Amino acid sequence: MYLCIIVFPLLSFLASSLFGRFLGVYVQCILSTVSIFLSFIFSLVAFYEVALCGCTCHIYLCPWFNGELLMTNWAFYFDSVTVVMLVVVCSVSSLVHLYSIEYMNIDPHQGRFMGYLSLFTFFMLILVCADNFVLMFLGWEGIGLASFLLIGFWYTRIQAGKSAIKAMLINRVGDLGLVLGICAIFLTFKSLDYAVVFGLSPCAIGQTFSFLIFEKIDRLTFITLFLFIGVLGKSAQLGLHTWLPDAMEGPTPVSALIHAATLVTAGVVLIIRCSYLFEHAPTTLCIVTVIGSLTAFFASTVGLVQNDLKRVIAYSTCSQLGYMVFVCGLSHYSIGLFHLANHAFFKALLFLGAGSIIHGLCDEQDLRKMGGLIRNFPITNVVILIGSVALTGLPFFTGFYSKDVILEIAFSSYNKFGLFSFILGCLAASCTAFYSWRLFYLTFMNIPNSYKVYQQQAHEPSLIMLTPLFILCIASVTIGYVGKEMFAGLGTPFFQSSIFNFFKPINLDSEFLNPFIKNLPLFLTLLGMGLSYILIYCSNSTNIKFLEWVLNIKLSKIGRQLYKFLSKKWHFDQLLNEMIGHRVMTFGYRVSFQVLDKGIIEKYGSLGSSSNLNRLSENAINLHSGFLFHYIFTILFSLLSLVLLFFFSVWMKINLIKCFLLLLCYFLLISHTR
Amino acid sequence: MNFAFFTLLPLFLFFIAIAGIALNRKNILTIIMSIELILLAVNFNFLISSVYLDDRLGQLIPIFVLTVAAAESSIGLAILISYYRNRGTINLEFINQLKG
Repeated sequence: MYLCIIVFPLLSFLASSLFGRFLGVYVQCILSTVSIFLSFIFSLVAFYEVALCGCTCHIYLCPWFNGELLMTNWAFYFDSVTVVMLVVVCSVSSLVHLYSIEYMNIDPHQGRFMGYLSLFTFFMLILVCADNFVLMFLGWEGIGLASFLLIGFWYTRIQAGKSAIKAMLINRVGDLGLVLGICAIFLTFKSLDYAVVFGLSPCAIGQTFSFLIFEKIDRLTFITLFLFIGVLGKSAQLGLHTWLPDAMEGPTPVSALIHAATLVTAGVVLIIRCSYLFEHAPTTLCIVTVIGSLTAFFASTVGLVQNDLKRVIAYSTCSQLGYMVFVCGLSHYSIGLFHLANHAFFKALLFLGAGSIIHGLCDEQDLRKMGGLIRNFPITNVVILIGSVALTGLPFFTGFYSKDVILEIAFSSYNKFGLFSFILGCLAASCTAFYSWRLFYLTFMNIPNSYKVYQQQAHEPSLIMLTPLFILCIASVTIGYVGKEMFAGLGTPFFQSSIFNFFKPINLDSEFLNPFIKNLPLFLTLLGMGLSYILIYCSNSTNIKFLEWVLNIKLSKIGRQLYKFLSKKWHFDQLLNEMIGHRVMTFGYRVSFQVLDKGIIEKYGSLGSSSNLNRLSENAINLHSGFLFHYIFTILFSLLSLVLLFFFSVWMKINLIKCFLLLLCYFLLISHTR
Repeated sequence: MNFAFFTLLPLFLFFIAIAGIALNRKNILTIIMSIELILLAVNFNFLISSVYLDDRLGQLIPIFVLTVAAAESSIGLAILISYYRNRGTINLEFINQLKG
């Protein structure tokens, strides 16, 4: 049964890619949806058995490759973290499958699309179920590949192709770090199995080795730092985040799958999985905290001014990932996983809701060309409302249970990094509220800005698309409450030994915080909502005086500078392109192509030597001018110089061979000068 | 008077002859004459060595060389004549058919 969870998506992928022509699109859709749904049912059972009944499961299939010390197996390990991820991935994935039956039904390649979705799910399941780092890496690369295929699904669009390449390449940067980390793990622990590595992790404390120019760096710090570089790429943390918004070029269900449940959460899952290693490396934890909180803040500020419906949600994903990462950095991995699970549901809800708008509005994605859609999309309106409320973390919705806990933990961790992340997290919370409501107002409430034809044709999707939305709505409202005691409860035995941290009872500190601090994120969220109400909704009110005031704020010099700065994404794309991308490309052309390949190698290789020989032989031929006196001169002069050289060598006692070499040089000189 | 002093003359003669061959650009007859001069210088050298070493062999070889020189000059001049018949000129500057 446990293997069925993993195998079903693979089978559906194989069926739709190998026999797609025979099956037909309709059968492919049904087949893939049903198979993923079956693996969802199985993963629910697995959740019951493993997480609730507390019996972890380890399945050994066969050896993969065995060297001297390296033993890598096809083996799967199901513990609490795995089954939580299984449920999240399978549920969101099956809903996305169901959703894309309707959403993609006019696409000529729908069968291929469903196959890719299944492939993606399969690799994600491999990643979360793996029992060693190599198998995990297989899944890691596999979801990279599947994301490449899915983002570039409409391969005729150049922008989609470029985005797919960008996603793939930036992920590769992180993957390099991950590979280095895995190599360092093998060097240190002589094994790649999770059980061995995590069991031995305390033994590596204080061990050092040298790497490149660095002498005596701490092994665990090095390992976790490089694992974290992998996380940077996959989970779109600050620095390697630029691929995430561009990945919006894929179809909307893809965005829902990638950004809600699967691709970007892989990095966070890796941190949670490697909690045994991270916990012993406090330096890395500090870095993780700082980067995570910076990401949360950065992405939410950029999200404020995005004009693309999907991009707003993409940046909110980036920001929520920042929350997850920094709470992991504060070594509350279970809370990170909790937020991950919650986030998967409401983010999938938001994306699929956005997809329903895009689908009903003739593929219009620009927020500025929407407005007043509340009459056309009453159900989607409610869906997005619930999603936004859950995202902003208003009380009693899903986001509240994880997000507020994260912020409380950040405040109560008693170090400067915790405080830093608390401040940035609170600011990010208010920004999140602002852009969520901005999205809501611009889409549904404001005066209509789209074409009349679009508005007249706008319609709610059919029941196939609405069913996932309903289910996700229910999940977004209830999951947080249901899961709270499991994930964040006091002394919960839910995670048994799958997550390790040094100080269990710290939750107490965050539980009994000052009420003001506890309510601060809520106040800031309400502040963001109010600002959004004033700046976005009221700016088209009938009160001319008020309208002018808002306009003045928006058009003031500071306002415009701020807008420019934010809408350019803090100039990160520009920075990366100009500082790294262009430099590397220029280097590739100038140095490795022009100087090395076409330069040195050809000059001293075949082409250069052949042309040089030709030139030399031409020179030698030119010596034969046909004039008798030239020949005579050459013969006599050479003879004389030979004799002279002979005597010279006898006199100076030089080796005769050297003299002949000298003579050779002399002839070469002659042949060049002619 | 030592040996070196006496060999200076044939040496100079030899080099003059070589210069005559190498520096001459016009006349093929001069070349033949220069070759004769070379043989003459060689003969001189043999004879001087013969006297100096008190050895008869040094006088024997010049007689052979004289005959060889006579044969050589006659054959050379014959070639020259037949060449002149073919080309109508014996100017060295125009003997450049054998280019590399």
